[in-house]
Amino acid sequence: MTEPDLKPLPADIQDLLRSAPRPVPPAGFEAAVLTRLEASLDAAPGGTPPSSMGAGGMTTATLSRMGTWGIPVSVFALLTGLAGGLLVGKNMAPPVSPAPMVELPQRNTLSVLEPPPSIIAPPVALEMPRPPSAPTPQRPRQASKVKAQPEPLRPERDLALADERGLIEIARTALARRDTARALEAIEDHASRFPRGQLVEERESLWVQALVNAGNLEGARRRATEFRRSFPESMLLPAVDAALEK
Amino acid sequence: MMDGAAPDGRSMGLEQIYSAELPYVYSFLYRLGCRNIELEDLAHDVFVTAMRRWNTYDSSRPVRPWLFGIAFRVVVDARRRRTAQREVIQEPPEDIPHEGEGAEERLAQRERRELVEEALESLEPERRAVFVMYELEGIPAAQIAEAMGTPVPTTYSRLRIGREEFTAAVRRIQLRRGEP
Repeated sequence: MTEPDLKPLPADIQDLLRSAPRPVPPAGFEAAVLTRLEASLDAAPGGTPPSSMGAGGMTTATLSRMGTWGIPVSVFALLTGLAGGLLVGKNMAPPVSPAPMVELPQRNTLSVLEPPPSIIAPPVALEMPRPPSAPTPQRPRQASKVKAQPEPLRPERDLALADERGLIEIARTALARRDTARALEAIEDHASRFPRGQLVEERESLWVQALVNAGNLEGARRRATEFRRSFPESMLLPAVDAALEK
Repeated sequence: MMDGAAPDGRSMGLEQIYSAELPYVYSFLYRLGCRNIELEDLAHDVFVTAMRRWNTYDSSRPVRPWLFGIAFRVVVDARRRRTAQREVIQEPPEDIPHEGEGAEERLAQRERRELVEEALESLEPERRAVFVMYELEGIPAAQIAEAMGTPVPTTYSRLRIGREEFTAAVRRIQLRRGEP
């Protein structure tokens, strides 16, 4: 679908949307979020002491540490869902090159602490790089200080799997209730976020079924052929074949 | 067009982006249905994630859609976790200040605001995010597609369905209220 295919909204709905006031943060919101960001940045060895709040509640030093050009910043970020802990690291450097738009960006890790013996994920030094167009001063990398990147964190993997399952489940239930558009949305969302995820096989089999339901038999056959090539032993092959025989 | 001057990130660091974009991140989160203390948590998470992913930001592009894409993921992930934990947060409705709310038009503006917010509730999360970005924030579909990580046709499809659902919801609410 392209923009010209879109029917315009009714005039009264357009008026409503135009005249609906924008929600604005209540007083103190910006300062409260900033304080928490500051706490996140300071909650690690090497973090600087909290700065005083400036006028309007803005902490200049904290904001600077968030990523002003030329001020290297490092953040140890335990990934989402892990007790919300954030640690700040040290030994930061600008990135060698901009990373492509990917779900989990490559990080230039210049220091990695020894992982703790507990199940808590080891902190990984992350840095606040410059945007790709900004000039990047060169700093020699000290290979001897670089330790191997730890294995992907299990909780992160589990969270990703949970997200994958959620999308696959949305697609499956949408197919069951013949909501093909919703199913395709969830499938494409999964393909975009998890191109090589753990549930690719399930996604691809659902994709064939969704394309059949959408009446795109050519696309369904093409995907089915690719599915057979990629997963010749799949238990989902009968379902894929059955969808094409509809 | 986008409401307010959206920085392109070329000449800005996160400190300027935080100051300039926090109100927009707030209103986006609010229009996705986030309220009260959750808003503070999620706004914090958005900027922490932005810091982590700063090296994925293409500084030739407007920063606001990029932040909204992060905000959408943060909201979806938070709700999935909450569902998984069977945690139900029931917070009282709040009366937050809204832009342009003057003494004379306060009631009318409040009714319009509540109508929009209630109608938005009827949209599924992805369609709601696309609808809010396109219709309320004025972000072009191509930039929304990039921010959401979906193909442009999917974005238009979500927008089309979102428009239909939003319009139908407004009609239902108006009927219930006895409005014309």
